Parts: sequence; structure tokens; C-alpha cells
Amino acid sequence: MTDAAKPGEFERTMRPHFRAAYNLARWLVREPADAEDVLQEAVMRAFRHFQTFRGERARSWLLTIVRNSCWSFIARRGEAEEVFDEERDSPGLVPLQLVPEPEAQLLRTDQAKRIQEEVAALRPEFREAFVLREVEGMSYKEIADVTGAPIGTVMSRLSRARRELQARLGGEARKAGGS
Amino acid sequence: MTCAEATPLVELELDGELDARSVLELREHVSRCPSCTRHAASLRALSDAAREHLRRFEPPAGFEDRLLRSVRPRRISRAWTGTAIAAAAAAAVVLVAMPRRNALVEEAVAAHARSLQIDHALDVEASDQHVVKPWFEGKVGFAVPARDYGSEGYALAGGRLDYLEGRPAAALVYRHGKHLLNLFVVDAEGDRDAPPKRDTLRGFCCWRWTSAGLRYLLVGDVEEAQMGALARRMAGID
Repeated sequence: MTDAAKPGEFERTMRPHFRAAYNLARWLVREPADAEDVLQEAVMRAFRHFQTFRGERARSWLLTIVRNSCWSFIARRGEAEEVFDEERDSPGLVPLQLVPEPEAQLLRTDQAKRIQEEVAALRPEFREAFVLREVEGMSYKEIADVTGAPIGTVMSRLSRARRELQARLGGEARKAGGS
Repeated sequence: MTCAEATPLVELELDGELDARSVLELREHVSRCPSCTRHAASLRALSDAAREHLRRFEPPAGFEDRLLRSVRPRRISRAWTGTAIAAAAAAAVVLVAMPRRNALVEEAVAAHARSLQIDHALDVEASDQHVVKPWFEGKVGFAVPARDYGSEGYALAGGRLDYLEGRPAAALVYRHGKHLLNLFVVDAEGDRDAPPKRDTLRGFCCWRWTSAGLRYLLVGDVEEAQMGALARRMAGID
């Protein structure tokens, strides 16, 4: 195979997964402008390494590069900026911000917004696993491939993510489960 | 099946990762156990809510084309002037051919910084190279020379699978007092041997060299000269 760029082939294989890549980047780095920069960098990198793509799962292959770019960005930003959700990322659970509404009502009306916020507040590695599982519908194996973590680590991250979300989102009924 | 056995399986079933026989056993237990029933229902509710409400961020219009522009310079919109096209093409060439070394150092330093966060440092914890080395088999496409330098004050603590430039990299972790050092090992892609050279980035020191088909990057915040001595030892020069 020639390594000379094959833009057509690259586009045909990878373009269908750009939306998944964008979604993941937004979940990981959040700011739309940052996500676009990171993706631009990731796509260049993917293109540069395209000759190492062996026709395996294109989505996992691309998302691996995208998430690594995101993590590099997070690490860079983490040093440049003062905190990256330091408070929210601390191991203790942040108490629920109750608004003056019965909880059942709150859950129904605000569930979409709440779950969005609480997932966004998870530590990045938990958030990543949860989003890949629940939004992208990836298997443990695929998540392990993308994140470069062993499957056992993927499982424990997902589990931690869920426990934190249950504690933050749910009322008494949900807390009862885990223990 | 006990509750302690059932609890972790509930999640596996929810994710469709449990084999059929275990699913039957689990359901049998859950049907008789109010606590596990609650646990399963709660997890199911969370998962349903996530699938229903969790946002899939959609890229802005034209974004996919913008992304591809950098890899297909010839199709740049005609609105661009010739100069801009030339500049863009040059930029693309520079980005493609750029000192991938620097990009690699950049990524290695970022990966090092990441590893200093909690629970990121080690996938396999062992000071024994006969444990660490085989752990990498099948994870990276080369044999990882995991050596202990404990007698020189750099004790092998273990290893971790990491990624540099989108490819698997072996990260060997060494402890030096309170400092943690990462030795990243990646395929050198046919590059010739090169002696250790130093970069400094964001307060970290990175020594990199190439030896026997592998590229090494030693990253840490130990004093530069000390790290250089270690790098030369590792590279087999001293």
C-alpha cells in the first residue's frame, strides 16, 4: 500500500463516524470551540496514521485517536487553567441542589436537564465510559479498545459512574440498591 | 446465588455482557430477592433515562467538510484565494511532516501528567520484570524491555498500557523517592538508533532516544542531569 495520502479512502471510511467523534469530544472537552480544535487535530493525526488502519472497526479506531486527543487537551488545560472541575471531581458526592419542588415532580420535569448535568459533572474517565456505553451503545470490549483500559477497569468505571449518578439523581429508592 | 454474587452481574446483564446461563441464574435469584429487584430496577431506570435524555451533541452544519478540508487541500472552496490555498497546502504539509518528535514529546508529557492523577498510573503493579514484561504481550506489538533500576534508586513499580499518537504504547513506571517517572516505549517505525536527547515541557523533563527498533521517552520531574544519567543507562550507553 502506498502511504501517499488517500483522502478519498480516508473520507469514505471515517466520515460516517465524525458525528460520534464530535459527540465524544463535546462530552469530554465540553466547549464547542475546543472540541472543534481537538477534532481537527485528531483528524489530521488519524489521516497521518491511516496506513496503519487495517479495516477493523473504523469507529473504534477513530474514536481511540479522538479520545486520546481529548485527554491530551484536558491534561494541557488542567495545567493551564486553575481547576478542571476539581470540586465536582472530588471523590465525595456533591449534595443534591434541591429546588423547591417535590422530588417526583422534579424528576419528571427536569430529568433530561438533570441527567445531562450530572453526567457532565462525573470525573472524565467515568463520564467517558458512561457516554460510550449509553450514548454510543458500545460493548465493554469496544470501550476498552477506545480507552486503552483493561475490560475490568471499564467495568469498574461504568459501575462507579452509575453509583454516583444514582446517588446524585435518585431519591431514597435508588440509593437502596448498591449496598 | 447470593446477593453478593448477583449484584455485579445485574449490571453485566443490563449491558448485555452476561452469558445466557448466568442470565437465567441471575433472574432466578432476582425474582426471589426484593433487594436485588430494587437494585436491578434502579439501574434499569438510570440506563433508560440516560438513553432517552442524554444528549448526542450534533456538529454544526458543514463541520464534517471543514474537518476533511485539512486532508484534501485540492478541494478547498474556490472562495479562497490562491495564496490562501498555497498557505493551507503548506500548512497541511507541515502538519503532516512536522517534527512528529515534538508531537510525541508533547503527548508523552501529557500522558505522564495524566498518570499522576489517581488510579491512572498502573495497570500492572510489580517490581519483577518477569511479571511486567509478559503483561504487555498482545497489548503492544513488540517485546517490552521492563528492567528494574532499583539499585540506582529507580525502582520499577509496574506498567500501564497507554496511547501515544493513537497507537499503543507501553508505559513503565519507576519510583524515585516521591517522584514518579514514566518510560514510554513505542515502535520506532524503522528509525535508526539515536542517543538520548532532552526536552523540557511544562515543567517536566523528557529524555528520548531510539534503540533497537524502539523509541523511548523518559518523562518526570527529577533533576535533568540525574534523569539524563538514567536515560543513558537505559539506552545502554553508560
